Amino acid sequence: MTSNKNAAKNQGPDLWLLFSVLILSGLGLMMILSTSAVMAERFYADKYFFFKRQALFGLAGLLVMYLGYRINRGFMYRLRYLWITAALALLAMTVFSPLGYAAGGAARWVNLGFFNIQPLELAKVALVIYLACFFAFKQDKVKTFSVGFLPPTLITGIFCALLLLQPDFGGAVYMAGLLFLLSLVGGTRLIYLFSSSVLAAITAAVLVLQSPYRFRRWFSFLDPFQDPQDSGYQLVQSLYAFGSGGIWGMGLGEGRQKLFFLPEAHNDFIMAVVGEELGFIGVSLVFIVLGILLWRILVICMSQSDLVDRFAGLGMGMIIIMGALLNLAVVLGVIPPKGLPMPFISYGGSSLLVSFFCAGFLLNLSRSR
Amino acid sequence: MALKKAKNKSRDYSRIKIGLVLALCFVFWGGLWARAVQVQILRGEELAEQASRQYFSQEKILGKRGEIFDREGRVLAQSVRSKSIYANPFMMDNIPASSARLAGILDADPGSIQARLDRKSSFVWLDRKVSDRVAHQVSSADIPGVFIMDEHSRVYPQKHLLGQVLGFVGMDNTGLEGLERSLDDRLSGAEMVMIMQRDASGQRFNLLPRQPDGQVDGQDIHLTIDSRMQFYVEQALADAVEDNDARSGIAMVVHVPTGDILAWANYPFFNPNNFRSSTPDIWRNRGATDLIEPGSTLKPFLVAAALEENVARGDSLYYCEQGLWRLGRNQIKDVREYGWLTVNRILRYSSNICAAKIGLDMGPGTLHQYLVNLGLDQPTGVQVPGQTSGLLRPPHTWRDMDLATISFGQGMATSFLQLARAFTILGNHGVFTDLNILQDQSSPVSSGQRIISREVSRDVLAMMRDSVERDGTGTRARISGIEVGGKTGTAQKASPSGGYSDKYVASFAGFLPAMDPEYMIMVLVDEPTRPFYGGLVAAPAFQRIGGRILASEQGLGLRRLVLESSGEAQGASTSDGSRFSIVPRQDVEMDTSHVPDLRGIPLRLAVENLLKAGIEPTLQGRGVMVRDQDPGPGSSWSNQQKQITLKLCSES
Repeated sequence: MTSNKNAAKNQGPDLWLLFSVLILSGLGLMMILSTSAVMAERFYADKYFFFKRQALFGLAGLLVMYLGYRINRGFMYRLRYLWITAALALLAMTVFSPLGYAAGGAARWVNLGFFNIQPLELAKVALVIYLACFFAFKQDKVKTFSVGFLPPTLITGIFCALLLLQPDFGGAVYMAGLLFLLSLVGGTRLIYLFSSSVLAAITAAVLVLQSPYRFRRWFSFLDPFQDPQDSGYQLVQSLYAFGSGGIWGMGLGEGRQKLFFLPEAHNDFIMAVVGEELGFIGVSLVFIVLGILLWRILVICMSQSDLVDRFAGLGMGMIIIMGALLNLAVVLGVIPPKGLPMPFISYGGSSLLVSFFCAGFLLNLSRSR
Repeated sequence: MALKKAKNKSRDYSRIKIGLVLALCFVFWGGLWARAVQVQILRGEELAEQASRQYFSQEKILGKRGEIFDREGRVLAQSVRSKSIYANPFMMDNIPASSARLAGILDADPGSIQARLDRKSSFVWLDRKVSDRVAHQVSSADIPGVFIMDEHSRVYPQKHLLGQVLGFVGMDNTGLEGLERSLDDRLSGAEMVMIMQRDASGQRFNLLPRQPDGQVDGQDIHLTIDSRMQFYVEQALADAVEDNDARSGIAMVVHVPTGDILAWANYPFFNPNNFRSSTPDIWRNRGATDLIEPGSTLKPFLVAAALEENVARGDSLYYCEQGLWRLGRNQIKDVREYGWLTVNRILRYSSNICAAKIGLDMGPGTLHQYLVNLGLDQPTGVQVPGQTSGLLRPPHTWRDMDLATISFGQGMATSFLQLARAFTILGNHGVFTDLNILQDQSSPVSSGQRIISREVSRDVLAMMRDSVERDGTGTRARISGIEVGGKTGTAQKASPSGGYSDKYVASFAGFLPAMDPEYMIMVLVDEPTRPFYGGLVAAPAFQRIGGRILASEQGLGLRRLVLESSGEAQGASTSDGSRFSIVPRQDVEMDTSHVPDLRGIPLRLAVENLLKAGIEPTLQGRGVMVRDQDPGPGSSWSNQQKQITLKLCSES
């Protein structure tokens, strides 16, 4: 064990992981140019509007990844309550302060003038660090209800409540998912997990049934072709894109679905355009890279000697992996559509920076196997 | 130790659980990949076929058409933005509630609105061309999925004013006639292509509701036309045509130093707001499109050519054959019988016989060359559509009789516009001047090609002055207070069966002032009945137009302010040029709430101030000074219609 640890000291970063991340973000940049050029030219009179911004975020992301790689993990863990407080404050700002910036009917951003940050992304990192520390440091009490179960559930609950106020249902589910996974790994009693899952499911069902809009959105995915011009619209267009791509794709920049057929083509539905333009080959490339990421996350987490590192690594990895899998599930019509970006590929600074930070953190862990 | 063991145990558990979680992820990952295989490969073709069935259509949206202004910035043609309201039900949250709110704003039945919104379409018209107030209410209601779109319709606020020259646009806002047609490229807004989607049933929906931005709008155009002068000219022309039971008429005012067209009227009038109720015959801009035989109005150019080529001098004598001259098998008649006349008087009395003799002395080649140089066979630079070029046969085909008739303006044809240009050239002392109707092309003529020398031009202008101010054919054109010059024309119309009919075109072209013209005014009356002489039919219209110009503000904006200053009776004076004095412009603010005291001030000032106050005075007697007035100064106006009579006297 000790010899292993000593050997680990000399290890550099996990190159598999590093290259996977670079491939994904490079592909993302390319796809953003392809998907957004027409729209950017129309709205901003500059074809490269989104591309340029994303390229800048990409550069910033590389810096953030390096930061994550060099950062003192102990420092990150010690200040966990600060992160939680900051994230909650930012989330509260989106809902309760005039700095909150709404788009598409939901106030999900905080306007910083040149750049709108999406506090959800920061909250994910804060929650992961908090939960990792909680389960690692309170390992002896984790089976109890009042100390081991209630505090993390409550804190996550506050996050979820704020997200639902935005409203960002997808974000809330995401946070609950992180809690669920880390509780599972951290050792919470299965009975608590099971009962709270049932509770969450009931809450979700109530929320869905309450709003016919949400209901329609939720269940149209089961048969989007029933109503292709209405509630099933996005999904049908997404499937059309994938189908048109076939095996080889229509060629980069040749896609037609992105020409305003597919709303948010450079955003949540960018993978549909990858499918259309690069075909199954391109989609498979993304799957392979995701597989490599999964494998490296497994290796890195397993090789951590400290519980807290192990949990934090899993959480950081899950931020990327869960985001990617949920996004793919949405665009492929497997789960109801929710506003989830594809990490590293979708347009959006907050998501990109946080994904890079998670990758940097995993690289940081990979040095000390 | 036990604790550590427990820790180890749980650590091992956590490894297993992490493995489990990640294994679950792998399962999910594999499932999704399999789904990609299903969607892209197994069902790929089917989906691709469905995708191709929904096809694009590109919808063009035209930017706002540019407006047309006169030289003072008054609007002649404008695009009125009207708001239309449409909805994308797909983007609406609560259709029943929204329908109720919309129904309240649009004053419509909620049921019918909801029925429309329940359609499976992403584009539904709710109301078109609503008032601004309604549009504002809709936008401030801020109902998601409800949008406002701008549409444009063309409106000519001055109604028939300048109608034929402006032309009109069709349903799709493209110019069909007049300046609207010839300047369509500049006026029409850029096309913005909207990508619309149609599903298999042809239903279309707009995925990008947005308003066209400024850069797609067309250019505004400023004309050289002065719409107030245009109004006076149209009035005078309408009266001239109606009083003489004529078919139609054309009148034009040109600012001589620049060639700017200040007014251009066609009668009967045409209202472009309602072109459908009119006929092409009415909306045609006959001043540009139709050929006319100029008749005697061509003679000044004949005389100018003769003087220039030393064929004759101003005092050369020609014998007018007592009104009837046989030339070969043909005969040429004059209206009156004249004996020997100097060239000067030939123009003044407009003798056809002597004009023919001058033409014969000059020869066909020379006359032809001058007519060509004056642009009588070339369309002008005025940007109106459908300009005709003249009808001027090559000189080697001219027989003597052709040369003789062309000398007095028959047997060749030109357009009204080209003739107006030729007179403008003469007014600019022989420097080629093209006419112009666009303000951005307006420039003083300085270095144009010289067609006629300055001296000859002055001689001809003096002859034209004498034709009006002395005992010529144009005495009806006299305008009290200013010396004018002009030439009458009475052309016989060619009959469809060959030869000439008993129908006439009466015309008058004149200058204001006579010797250093600021304005060229040309009036043409087609087929007047009973008196058909240009001097009787067209000259009075010239007089009215010229008088108006003199009385109005534009008249005071003359390059040189001209007023008769000598005490001699107007028209009787014979001295050259010396009758003009320069009177500085006086802006006298006059209180017109009561009858002002106008006694003893120059007529021009009195009229100017009265017109500013919207009062049109009646003039009594002749002269340039106000001797007395009725009602008297200081009294209150008798009724709503403010009326005042000014009694005039010569300055003393």
